[in-house]
Amino acid sequence: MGADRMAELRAAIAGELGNVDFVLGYSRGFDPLHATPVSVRSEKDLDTLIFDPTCVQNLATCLYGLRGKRMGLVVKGCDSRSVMQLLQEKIVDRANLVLFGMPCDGVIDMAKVRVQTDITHVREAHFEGDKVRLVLAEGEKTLEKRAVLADKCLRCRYPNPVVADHMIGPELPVTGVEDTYADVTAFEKLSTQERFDFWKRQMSRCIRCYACRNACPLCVCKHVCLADSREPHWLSAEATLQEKWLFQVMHALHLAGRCTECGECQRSCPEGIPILLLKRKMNKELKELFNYEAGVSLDAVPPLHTFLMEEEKIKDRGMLW
Amino acid sequence: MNQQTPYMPELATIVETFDETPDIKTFRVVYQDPARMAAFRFEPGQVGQISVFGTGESTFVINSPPTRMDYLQFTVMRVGELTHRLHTLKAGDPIGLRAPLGNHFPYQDMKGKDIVFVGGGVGMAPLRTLLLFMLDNRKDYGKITLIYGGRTPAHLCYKQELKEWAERGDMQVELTVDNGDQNWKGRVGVVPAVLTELGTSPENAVAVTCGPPIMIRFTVQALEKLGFKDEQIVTTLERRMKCGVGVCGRCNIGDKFVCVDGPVFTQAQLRQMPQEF
Amino acid sequence: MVVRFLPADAVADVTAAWARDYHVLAPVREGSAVVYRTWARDMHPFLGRPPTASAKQALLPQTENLFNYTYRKDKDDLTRTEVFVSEALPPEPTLILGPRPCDARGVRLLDRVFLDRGVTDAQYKARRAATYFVTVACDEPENTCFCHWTGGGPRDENGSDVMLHPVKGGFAVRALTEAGEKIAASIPEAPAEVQKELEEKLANPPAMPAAPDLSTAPESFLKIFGDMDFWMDESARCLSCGVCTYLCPACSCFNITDENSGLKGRRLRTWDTCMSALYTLEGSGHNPRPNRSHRLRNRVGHKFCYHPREVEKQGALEFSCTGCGRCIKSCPVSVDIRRVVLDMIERGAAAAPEVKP
Repeated sequence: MGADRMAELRAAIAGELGNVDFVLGYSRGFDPLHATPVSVRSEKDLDTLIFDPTCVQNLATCLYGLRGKRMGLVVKGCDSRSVMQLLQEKIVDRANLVLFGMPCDGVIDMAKVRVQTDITHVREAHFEGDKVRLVLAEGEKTLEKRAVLADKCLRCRYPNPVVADHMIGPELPVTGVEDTYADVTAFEKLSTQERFDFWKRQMSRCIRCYACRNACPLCVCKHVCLADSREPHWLSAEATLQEKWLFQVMHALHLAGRCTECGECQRSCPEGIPILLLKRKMNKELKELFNYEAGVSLDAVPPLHTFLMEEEKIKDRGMLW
Repeated sequence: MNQQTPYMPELATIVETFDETPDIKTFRVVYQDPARMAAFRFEPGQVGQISVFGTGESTFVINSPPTRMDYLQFTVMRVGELTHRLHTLKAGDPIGLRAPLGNHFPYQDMKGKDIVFVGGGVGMAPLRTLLLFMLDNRKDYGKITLIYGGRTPAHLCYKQELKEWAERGDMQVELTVDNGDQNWKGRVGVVPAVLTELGTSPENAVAVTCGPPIMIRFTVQALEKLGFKDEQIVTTLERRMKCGVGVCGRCNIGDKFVCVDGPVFTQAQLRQMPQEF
Repeated sequence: MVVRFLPADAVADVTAAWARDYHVLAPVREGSAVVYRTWARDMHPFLGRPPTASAKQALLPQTENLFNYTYRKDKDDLTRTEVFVSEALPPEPTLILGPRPCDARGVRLLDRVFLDRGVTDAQYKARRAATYFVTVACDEPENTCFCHWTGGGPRDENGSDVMLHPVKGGFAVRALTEAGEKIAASIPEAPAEVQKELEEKLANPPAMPAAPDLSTAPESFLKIFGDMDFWMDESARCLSCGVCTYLCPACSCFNITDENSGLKGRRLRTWDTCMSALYTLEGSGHNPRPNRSHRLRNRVGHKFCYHPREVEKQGALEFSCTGCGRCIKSCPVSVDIRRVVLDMIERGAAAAPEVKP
């Protein structure tokens, strides 16, 4: 990102440091392709801030655990939708938040980068227009940016944060294609047995680390999570397919109508299990049934937070007495 | 306890239960194998892990002294999953037991000294073990004082024994409650305040304290004000435990494990540890 | 010692042969992960990258039965129950193919916990005696590797029964233990050029950036134990999940729970993570480590202070960390334990005597 834009972000944050306990932003991680969240509490911390396509984490994840604190947050378009959904559900208080909105044209997907090149010896990474130029131990390699962008970015309709106190940098045009949930539809064409075999294979390498759960900004059960509960006892402690699968299904159901598809669940999985597909399936159903998209409008009521006596698209055979 | 399979409980049977308070019950158990029961040895302050198979396991101090081995006694406050289930059990029901675990009160170092027991609520449980042990070896110890308090008179444990101890003549018993009731004729006030009021001398004395964390905190402060040094203050720590033998890693404070290096610690030892209580 | 040669295209066949005598765990690529799977025909072991998870699952499975129990009601007195307790089954000989030297070194750290601490964990001991490591030596450390910071190295032999060194066309094979001799016996002796290539390799270890001096880590940690600003900043990004602990070759903390089916059940031990908010939650509701700052502090402290102090009588400074870098690679928010330890040493050097919390 341009030096002026970074200067603008730093200035905006500096201006708000007196109003908040801290601001959560991004800094450089262990190599040029990884960012790591950083807590800014004074002006001397500002120099560590970055913003570029390596800034993949959704910082809204920490909001639920820190409600009550006055804090600032650097948000991309997708992150801001998570914030918006939390505001719609009245889980966080807008008055305690200062949002620094970063119009964003995409973040990289490390799994896609790894397919193209070795990622374990990157010395430099330069994002130059539609190219990504990497300096590796053995020389340079240039990749097409679109080939390594996360899938969610290719279909992004909200490059500009939907809620922000400061918008840093010019707003961007929508370049993402409309999401037709083609991946879900294609998967649904498989037979039940094929689908079952697919998930059996995928989930068998799950290690129940709950990175997927903890990375999710809308996940609010926390210490009463069904995964840990002994009373009622939903899941045994065993690392078997049954327990792992039941957790994923229940998690997807808990997120129905709430998931903003930030994709952090899937990205966080150390075993690369494609669990976002389950949430996308839920969202596809909800889009069809209620024409609802999570986290885009403050006044919208999530469909599972209300009911209508007569639903437009649900034929309930009129058995009312 | 089988050293080779340290997680395997031995079977025991509950022989008696009594209600101490609305949420505290005492259990007397014996090992199902009479030879095991006869050969069982432990030191005052050591703990046992009681299993209710199907629910889990939890740690409780062996509440009876090694000088009285007709049964092993445990006093249990009902707070969570295991203790709720345990409270539904009655005489004749089976449990699992892994004992003795942990360290014990340094009673050898307390010989010839004056002992001040300072307890609150269910914290009286480990104190009872050491107190009875000392009463059973009375000539080895100097003056024995018990300062014990609960939220209300109903919340005091071992009510019958408290009366007996007060009437023995060879120890001093000072009871107190935070709130009295119409029948209560004793002191009203928090335990640390009673301790301060009594002005117990630290000269050749050891204080043994156990109770809710806040009570211990203020008790230690009161003892320090009275002149007790860190080596003269002994307490038992609580921690979430699982294996009880120093393997699962859960109960560490610094490089010490509460289940092996504790639960009994002197204040001097606690000060050396990372302050994470 | 006989050096043998395993051609790359023979790896699958040799592994299949091993599978006749051992339960074999071999790494395969699945999506972006490299996963240990029980050997099956048509599997293609992938040895080009360290597996995503450590090899500890062979010695300490994620879920393990400690024992089973059965309640039996007395039919003459339905209020009476009896419990019968039976032990779980012994393990079968296991060969794990594909760990790296950092994984094999982790075994020694697990031994400290399960064998050396005063009690013997019989199940761990049985698995330990029956598990064999066929390790792949590293030619090129990744940017997350720091095995040499903690006393290891890309060709460290500790814990390995057989070591495979990548050479042209396959692997030079060295058996390092008696069990390893038996495992490697079926592999033909290496031709002269492979032996020469191996000699050159061993004489020229891969270059690694200089390791910092970590000898002051334990005391630095204690000095800044109470500096909550420091720990809050370091843990601000942490999600309190279990990725770091579950993938770590040296982490071994576990939970014990009972799981029932009617009147029968089993007591299990399962991996647990000190990073979880529930880890030290007491029945009373009190939690000595309520925040991420406390838990990250404990994790780093255990690896770089408590463990060294526990074992310091036994010689050189030993951390409960093999420098494999998995916690860095796989952490969703890129917590870098190297960064935390170096920051801690820097902060400790500048600090006054211990800051009280």
